[in-house]
Amino acid sequence: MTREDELFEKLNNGEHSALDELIEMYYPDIIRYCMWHTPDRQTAEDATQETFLKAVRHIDSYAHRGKFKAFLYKIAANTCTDLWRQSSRQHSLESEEYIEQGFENAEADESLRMLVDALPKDQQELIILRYVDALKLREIADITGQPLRTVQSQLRTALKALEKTLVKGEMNNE
Amino acid sequence: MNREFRQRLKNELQADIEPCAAHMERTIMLAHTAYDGRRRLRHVSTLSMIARQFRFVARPVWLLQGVALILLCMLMYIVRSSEGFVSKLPALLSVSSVFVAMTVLPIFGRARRYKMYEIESSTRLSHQKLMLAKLCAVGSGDAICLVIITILNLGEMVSPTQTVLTFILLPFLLSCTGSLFVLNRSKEEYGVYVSTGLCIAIGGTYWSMAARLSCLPAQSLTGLTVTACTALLIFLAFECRSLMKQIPSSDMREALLF
Repeated sequence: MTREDELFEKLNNGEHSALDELIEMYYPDIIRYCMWHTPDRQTAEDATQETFLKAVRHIDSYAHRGKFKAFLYKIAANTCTDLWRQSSRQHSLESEEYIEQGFENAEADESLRMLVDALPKDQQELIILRYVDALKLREIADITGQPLRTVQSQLRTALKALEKTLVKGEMNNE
Repeated sequence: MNREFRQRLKNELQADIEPCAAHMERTIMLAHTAYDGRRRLRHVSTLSMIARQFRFVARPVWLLQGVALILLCMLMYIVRSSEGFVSKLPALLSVSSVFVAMTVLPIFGRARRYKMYEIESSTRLSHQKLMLAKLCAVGSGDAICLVIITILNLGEMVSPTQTVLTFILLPFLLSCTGSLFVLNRSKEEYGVYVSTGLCIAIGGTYWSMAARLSCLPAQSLTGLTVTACTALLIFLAFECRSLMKQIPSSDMREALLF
């Protein structure tokens, strides 16, 4: 029995404190994911909060089979898409702000980030889930709703494309 | 794939994002409010669930079956005055029961064609219970149609029990079981067409064989029909069960809808 299973059992038994631990357990993962899918930290925090609130509101309809993480990621993906649409309607994004507020700790990695951003959306999502959020392939398959083999092959294609572009860029720099 | 490259990706992309403790606390606080104020799911018994779904599920099914029944009754009324009606009755009854069985096809075919599983999942109902409600609606409608056809022609039947078993129940069960067998094994729309073809073939075979079947000794024919009907009923129950079980859990689809 995993810690997650125990927490769900406690929650079903009416121990509301289990909810605190459940949120604390996944908050860092979800905010890291949201940082990649929103223009700034403020929006990422809003998306994270909204994700947990949606999950909690619909927790009764979620039948726990050890896939709560995938459930959260799926909600986070949809919430980020909604927020991104709203924000892009309200104001056009400034790339300067994007770097300063969103990734202040990662200026050195900007080239690799830009390469990931340049990938097709579905491949980009797989790279983020696998290498940013360090999810297992099975978990990624659950989130994306694709067969495990498809996830593996698409990930391989994305990595090859990334590596090829990176090597090409490094050779040009030399 | 280069292992070093994958390691580099992990090192560089996993930026150390420190979660804001105050924001997390606020999220937890709001989550508690949301948890307390959430709309709780009520447990609904299977029977009550089916009865409630009849309002939505049964209406189109019964409408279709009603139209089919009216057409069949009109046809029989017209044919009744013709010569040799009694000799043609078994053939007519078997084709009618196949036609009644075919009313199942548009109901399940439509859900497949328009990929209605997502819409159904938005209602957050159990797919199994929803499918059971559909099956009950179709089944009860079919039963009423068959009973009405039987009652209307009871006076014209030479041997009522044998006629009902051989020319109404057997072709009906054959068509239903065959259709569900095909539908369960084909995920695409063409399954509906194959099932329609199968039902037409069963109807055609009965139309041409009915006269010869009527000539067979009553006792052996009844025994054979009872055995075949029992076997088909068991097979039909298995097919209904697999139809209900083939829809996957909607947990992830529900998340899609949030």
